[in-house]
Amino acid sequence: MIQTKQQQDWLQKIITQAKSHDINCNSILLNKIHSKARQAVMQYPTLTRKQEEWRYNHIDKLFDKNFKLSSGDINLHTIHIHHYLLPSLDTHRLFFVNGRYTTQWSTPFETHDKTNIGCLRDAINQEPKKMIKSISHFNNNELFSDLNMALMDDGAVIHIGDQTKIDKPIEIIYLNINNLNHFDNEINDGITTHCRNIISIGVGSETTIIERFIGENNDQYFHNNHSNIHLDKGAKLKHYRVQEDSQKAFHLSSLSISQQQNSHYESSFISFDSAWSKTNINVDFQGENASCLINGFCVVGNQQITDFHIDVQHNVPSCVSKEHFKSIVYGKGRSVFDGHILVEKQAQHSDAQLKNNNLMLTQDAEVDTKPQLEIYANDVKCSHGTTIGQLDPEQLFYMRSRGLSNTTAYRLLCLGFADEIIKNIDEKKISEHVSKKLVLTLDKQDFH
Amino acid sequence: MLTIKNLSVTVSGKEILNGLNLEVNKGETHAIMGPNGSGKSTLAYTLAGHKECVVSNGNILLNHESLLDLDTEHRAHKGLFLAMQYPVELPGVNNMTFMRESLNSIRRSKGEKEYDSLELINLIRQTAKQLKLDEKLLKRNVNEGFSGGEKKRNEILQMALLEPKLAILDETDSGLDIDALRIIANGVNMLRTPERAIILITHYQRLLDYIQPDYVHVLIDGKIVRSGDKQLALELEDKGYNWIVDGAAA
Repeated sequence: MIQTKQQQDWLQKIITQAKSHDINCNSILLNKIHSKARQAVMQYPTLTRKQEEWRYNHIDKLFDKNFKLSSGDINLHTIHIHHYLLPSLDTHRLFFVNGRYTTQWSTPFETHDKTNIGCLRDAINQEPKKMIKSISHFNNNELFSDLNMALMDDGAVIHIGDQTKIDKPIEIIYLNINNLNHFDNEINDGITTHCRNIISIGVGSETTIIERFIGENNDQYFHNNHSNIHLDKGAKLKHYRVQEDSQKAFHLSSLSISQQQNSHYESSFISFDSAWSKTNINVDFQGENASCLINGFCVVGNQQITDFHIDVQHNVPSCVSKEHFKSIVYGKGRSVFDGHILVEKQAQHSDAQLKNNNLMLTQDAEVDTKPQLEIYANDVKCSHGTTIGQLDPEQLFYMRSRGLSNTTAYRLLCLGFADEIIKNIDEKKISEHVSKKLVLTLDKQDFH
Repeated sequence: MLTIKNLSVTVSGKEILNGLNLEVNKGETHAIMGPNGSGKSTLAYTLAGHKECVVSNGNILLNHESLLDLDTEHRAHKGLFLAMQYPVELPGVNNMTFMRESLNSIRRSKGEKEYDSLELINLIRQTAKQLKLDEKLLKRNVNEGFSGGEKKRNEILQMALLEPKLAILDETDSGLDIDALRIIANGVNMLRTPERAIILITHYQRLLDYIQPDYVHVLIDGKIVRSGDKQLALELEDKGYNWIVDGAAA
């Protein structure tokens, strides 16, 4: 009962804050969506460690914190933007600070009749009925998705028309920083921000989306990000997501991806830092011959927990899904992987493969992994494989016998382990950035 | 250059080397032969500082300095090189990157300037060519998917690049066909200089047809029981190890 009260109080507190921000919101339609979701949020059963979903990644850590909902009223003058941009990465950029779109650092694509790249607030202002209709259409079914819906007031909107190829990748940056809001001095554990992204790729269109999550070194905050992604017939989306939040951050992402016939979704989920991180990826095949290739790599250090939940639903015949996730865990870090593939009876000729490889660098590291295949069709090709291992002492001896220090040997072997995932990132600036970040993270550790 | 004094070594609590003595001077090539389980590989691993080889007695001096307190990489910095019998595969680690890291770490330890990428690529390519190692292998991951012969040639390539003072070749001839053996032997012969000492560990006399040693030692039950010149190897080939075992017993 204590847990129930804790959850209800935690949600109520944030919703109360949201209501006070609503005064600035002049969209009646959006208010309607908010209030419906706010009611829904309070109806969810209590989340506990007894539920499989929260068995390893404890929800009480989040509910213990007293987060303050960030309002749009923020001071941007103290931000040094160049700290956060990757040099010479040429993109159409959408920049969000504390959940709110900022025009001054964004360089979106010029909107024309078929294609729109911008922010949710603008989209709602420009085409309220259309946007609200598409938002109301979303089925959340999960507390934090509904919470996102209950609180959202911004996010990225990317709508690519039919037969369109975007010249440059679209980059979305989410920067979260405490102390930008004009809050009173009330005690809190940092801000909480909620973004809702709506992405649709038209028939036969192709694009690349890069998402980067950034925080300030010692800031504690809770970022709740939700994306609805739709690929129309024959659409192709490459999606690279690099999470480099602050060390103390709480991060929750949910992605609902629906794919029409012959569409192809390819993504890399990279995660560093964050004290507590959970990513839910949901793929729903709605048309035949669609395919998805989802890769992931995370480095999980002391006092950190990184959790990936993947759910792929083969509802129609002849779709291909391939997931490959790797983690490097050290200190008292914990990596959780839950990969579920459902192949429905009618989904004949499905090809589903799931792989999860984990490398533990220290005795105290922990990996909890659960690959699940649920197959009802009888003519399919499905496989899954999981490994958990340590660095081989003979490899280390070999490298040291050639003069390499222990640290260098660890670094090369870990980079070698990660390479299989990183090399799939076609944007060279991003893959280099990820490798560099991995080296920096490892070189800070002492593995003797 | 190398002095091994009364060396006893245990592996997993079992005594493998038992009061071994050996003296190797610069410019010399020594062959160490012996039957299976006599302690040949343990000797090689002990010299390189493998953690599983626990020295219970004796000492190893390289240029009058004890190696026993040095970590594996620091022994490499002092000029010791071990070409392994079974070179391990390093998945995802590019061969060229590995050699660059290795070469530069040794140069750094000597206070020498690190090679820049271009110098290094040229040097490695040139050396690979001399050893008839396919250049494509430089672009692949270290030893991953290499044939037995390619792995051994890759070892000799590293040895040539690192220019060790003391090179130990642990059964480098095992698993090689005659052509590969010849290439490896030529490589090793190129590396024989008046300043460098080489220890060849081998089962068979065959390798010694191509690399002629100055001294041959017979290792049995963790001890050197007989030393001689290359004639000894020929005698062993003819009479087998039992000839010495029986002789020692009598």
